[in-house]
Amino acid sequence: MDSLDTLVRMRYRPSGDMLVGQVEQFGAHTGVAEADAGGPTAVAGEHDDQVEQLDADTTRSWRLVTHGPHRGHQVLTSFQVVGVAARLDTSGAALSELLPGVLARAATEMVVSAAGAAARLRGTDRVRARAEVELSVPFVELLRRTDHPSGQVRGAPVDLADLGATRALATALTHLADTVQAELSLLPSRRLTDPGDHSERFVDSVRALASIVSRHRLPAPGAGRAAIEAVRGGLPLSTTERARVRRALAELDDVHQWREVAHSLEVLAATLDEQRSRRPGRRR
Amino acid sequence: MSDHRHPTPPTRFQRRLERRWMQRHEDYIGSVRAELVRLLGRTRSAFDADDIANQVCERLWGRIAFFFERYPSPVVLAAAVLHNAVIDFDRSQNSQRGAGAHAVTHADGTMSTKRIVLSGDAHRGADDVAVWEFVPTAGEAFDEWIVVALDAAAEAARVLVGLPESSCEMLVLLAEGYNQGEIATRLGVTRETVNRRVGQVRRTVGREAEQASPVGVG
Repeated sequence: MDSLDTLVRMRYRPSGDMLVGQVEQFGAHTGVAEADAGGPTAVAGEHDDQVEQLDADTTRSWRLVTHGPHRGHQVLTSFQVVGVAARLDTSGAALSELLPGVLARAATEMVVSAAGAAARLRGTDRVRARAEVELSVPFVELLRRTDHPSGQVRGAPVDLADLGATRALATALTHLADTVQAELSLLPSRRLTDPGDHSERFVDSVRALASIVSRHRLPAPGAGRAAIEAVRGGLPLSTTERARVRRALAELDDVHQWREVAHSLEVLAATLDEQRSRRPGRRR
Repeated sequence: MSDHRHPTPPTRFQRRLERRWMQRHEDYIGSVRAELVRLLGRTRSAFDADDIANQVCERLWGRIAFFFERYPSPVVLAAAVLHNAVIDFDRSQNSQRGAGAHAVTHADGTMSTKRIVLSGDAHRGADDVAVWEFVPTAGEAFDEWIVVALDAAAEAARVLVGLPESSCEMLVLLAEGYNQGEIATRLGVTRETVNRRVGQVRRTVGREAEQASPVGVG
């Protein structure tokens, strides 16, 4: 490792689809590791890290550089991203908007290969699986660049969603999950053992999303993408209904849309309830 | 004479059903893990958060069918186990650094130190339970953590029923760790208003608890 480099370690867990990373060591001549000694570049102590929560699924920590040529800048010290592979599936640029380029590229490579390998693991092996990478990164690469999406200040503290909108959204998501669950209970059990069927995964992920928005009152793009991914052909929804659900879930990234999304999902769930109640020979 | 018959091999349907349940359990554990990391992200380092979450998930996996059935929401379960999981993790970290020696009083009144927290490296049994872990593991006591925490969450939810929305908002923010000044700024009210409303709720809850108490007064 060069004396001006920084050692960064990243870890990906297929269970939870989660990426975490942190600076393990700042190079000797960055002065960061010996902040008090006042090297050419010194960074404030560990407790001065500013935690930036972009949403419920994404957190980054920054530290202020207090000496040297980069004095006054912030340097990335750690991050965590939930639902990372799900986000990569829907948008290849997902990580480059959150992390400095060099980390985004390495993380994407690790996540893609680890997620592929973990797809073959089952049970305990899958729960324990993890991939790690350690890389030496030039110090300047980790400095916050406000001219790049990964460094733009999104505002801290982030705006929590309005309590009423949060409750309405959580209720609507739960209603939708209940309705689809009720439809699934009418299907022959053989259908639910079809490995290509993602209906239960959809129900579980929508229920989890309802709990997450209710608890955090923030968008959860990772959990949202996982739910969108589960909107597939096996669901007891028409093509139009599936498109509506996908659109509504994608809009959850903006808390200001939550009331409208809640209304839209409630209307959809009510329509599905009504269709089911009219169907002849329905089971109770 | 010994019975050489083999059990009937599972049918294709049974194998697919089993795989399906395995997948749901894996997704459930994944959701618990993700939620733990979300909750820990603001206060712990990234790797500590991941290690704590992993410790919990490995324990839960030992009895996954039970937890999946009993606690349908992985998000609620994660919040319930969080507090004790952090204490447990910190204790194990401290013990590895040589901390954990506690004073013990003997029957004759003398005192001596006794290490009650050991490293947790030794494992036994099919459940891979650590021999020396001080905080209970995947047995009943671990379930008890969860029950106690969920009771507290249910009590908190009960308290919120019937309150005006603005008071609910204040209590929720308070529970999320904001102080009364921050809540006042966020809601655009004075600090005194926040103090007064929170005080009113506390008095109401206190009265209810007194009335519900099975112990007679006087």
